[in-house]
Amino acid sequence: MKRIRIIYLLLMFFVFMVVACFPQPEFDEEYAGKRLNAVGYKSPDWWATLDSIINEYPTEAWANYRKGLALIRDDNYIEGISYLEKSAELDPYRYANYTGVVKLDLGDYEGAIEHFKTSIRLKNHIDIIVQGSAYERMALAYKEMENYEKAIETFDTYINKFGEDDVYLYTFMHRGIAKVETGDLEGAMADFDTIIRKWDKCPEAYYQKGLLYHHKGDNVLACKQFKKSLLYKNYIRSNPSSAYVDQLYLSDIERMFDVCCGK
Amino acid sequence: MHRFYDIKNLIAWVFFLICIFAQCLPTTHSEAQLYGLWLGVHIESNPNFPLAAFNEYRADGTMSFKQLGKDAKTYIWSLNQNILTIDTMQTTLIAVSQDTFINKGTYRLLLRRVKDAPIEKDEGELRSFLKNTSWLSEDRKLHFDKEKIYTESEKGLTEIRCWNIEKYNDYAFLYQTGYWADCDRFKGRAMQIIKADDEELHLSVWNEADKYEVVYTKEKEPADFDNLLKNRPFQLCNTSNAITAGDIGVMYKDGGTALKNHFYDNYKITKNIENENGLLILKFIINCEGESGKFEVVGVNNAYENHDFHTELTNQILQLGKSLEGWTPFEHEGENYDSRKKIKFRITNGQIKIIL
Repeated sequence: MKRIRIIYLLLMFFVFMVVACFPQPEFDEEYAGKRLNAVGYKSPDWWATLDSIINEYPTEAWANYRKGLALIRDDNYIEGISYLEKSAELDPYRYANYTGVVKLDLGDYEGAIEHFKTSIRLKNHIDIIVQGSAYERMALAYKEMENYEKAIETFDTYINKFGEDDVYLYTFMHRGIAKVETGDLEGAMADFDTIIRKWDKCPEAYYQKGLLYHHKGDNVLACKQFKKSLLYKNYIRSNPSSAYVDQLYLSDIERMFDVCCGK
Repeated sequence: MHRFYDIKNLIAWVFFLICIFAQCLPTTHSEAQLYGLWLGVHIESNPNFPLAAFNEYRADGTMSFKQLGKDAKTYIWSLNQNILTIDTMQTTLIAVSQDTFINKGTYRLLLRRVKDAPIEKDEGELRSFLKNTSWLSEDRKLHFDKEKIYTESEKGLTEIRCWNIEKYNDYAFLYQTGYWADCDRFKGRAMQIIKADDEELHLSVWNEADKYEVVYTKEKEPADFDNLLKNRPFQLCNTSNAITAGDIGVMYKDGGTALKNHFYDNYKITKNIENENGLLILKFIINCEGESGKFEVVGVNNAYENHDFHTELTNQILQLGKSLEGWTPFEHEGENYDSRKKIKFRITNGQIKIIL
């Protein structure tokens, strides 16, 4: 009887050893995505599936990114940021830029700049999740930190590297606003004109030009710009859930119209 | 000396393997367990959203699905092991007990079995019976007028919704619908009326968290509604969660710049808050009537750890947030909705560095 027990124990041990030695299947993002989509979004099963993927593949970034994103959307910044940071650490090529975007949105400009620098260093400045370049975002972070010289320098690098036609149009508006802050009003005007030359229905560019003319004391020319801005109000850049940096609101144009054109 | 194929050992091992195998078999349910009338309680995707619908499973292979206030639809149903097929839709039966069953398509649905408590009065008689009456339980009062039900607790008036009665077979249900300004929107959660006479109103209430019976006794005098309405509470128009949508700057009457200036201009730094740093998030809800409420603040430090900001700081932000007036409710395809809002404040040495 004792010998049989020993044989069975050895047999079980052998089976466990063989199973343990099976190589872990390679991480398949498409399959992981299907696993996640098979259960209701943010249901207990959904969170459990994400956790199990994180445990099964601790060196893969994707599930950390998905969990971080979901937590941030629930305003759980404490846990959400740590998962996003983990994803950026595991796969900086894909996730550094987006983690920077989230930090930019939270006003953590220094933290955001580090992530944008990483994504530029890895030659992946364009984010696939939220469209936009790490160069432009880094410049925005400097601008929001009121480091206008550094912001303009970064905008310049971005534009010079990729050319005027291959950068995001609003880059010129942000650079123009930064130039206003440094007192370079002519440079700012040139930037706003660049936008209008490329797209003559940009309400933000007309609004910024109007502010410049008003600043110079020319309310007649300012009024004309605010009128054009109002004319194209339906094209105001807007995001359904949050505001952009330098977001323009219709009420801003109306207020300046009242000031410069009279009620 | 025992041999490897010793018959006793062999039987023991076969028995052991059968037990292991049986453990791995899926639990199966029988159709008979589903026969009868069930009422939807909640759906996993949104636990606060009531599944206000009846499901009646019959032995002849037909089932009726009826939403409150709508006509019943009849389908063919079958149960094959755990796969519940209704018409062409297939779901998985997770658990069935005498009183509840859980069914899973994309999300889990919880249904309760209707209690065997027939009510003689018809729908019209029940409406007349409840109209202009007040009822008292241990912790709340219900006041019914012609179309609205006013819930009052020790804190005062807590909710106003419209009400209606629906009977299914011999069973009666009281359900709340709409809100104080519009009775036609959003079907609410149904409560089964167990008893309704001049002495007591006995309701059986089920929700995602709990099941409870509540017995109300009739008040001699109906409520003074004018007096009650002097302190109308903030409440959601929807009976479930508010959605996260809409740019706050667009929803504020004077725009985002004016909204930020309201805080920048009126916020005052004091000695007690000079060393405060981090991110403070003011959360609130704008209901479908453009009223704001359910304010709360959450704080994190610069390392994204939980941080309780000094009350002098949080109270200022809360008061400034509450004093904002002139909201446009979030609108989608012609309907207004409750929406969750947040304003983020980056605090540096007690000062509002930037509002996001």
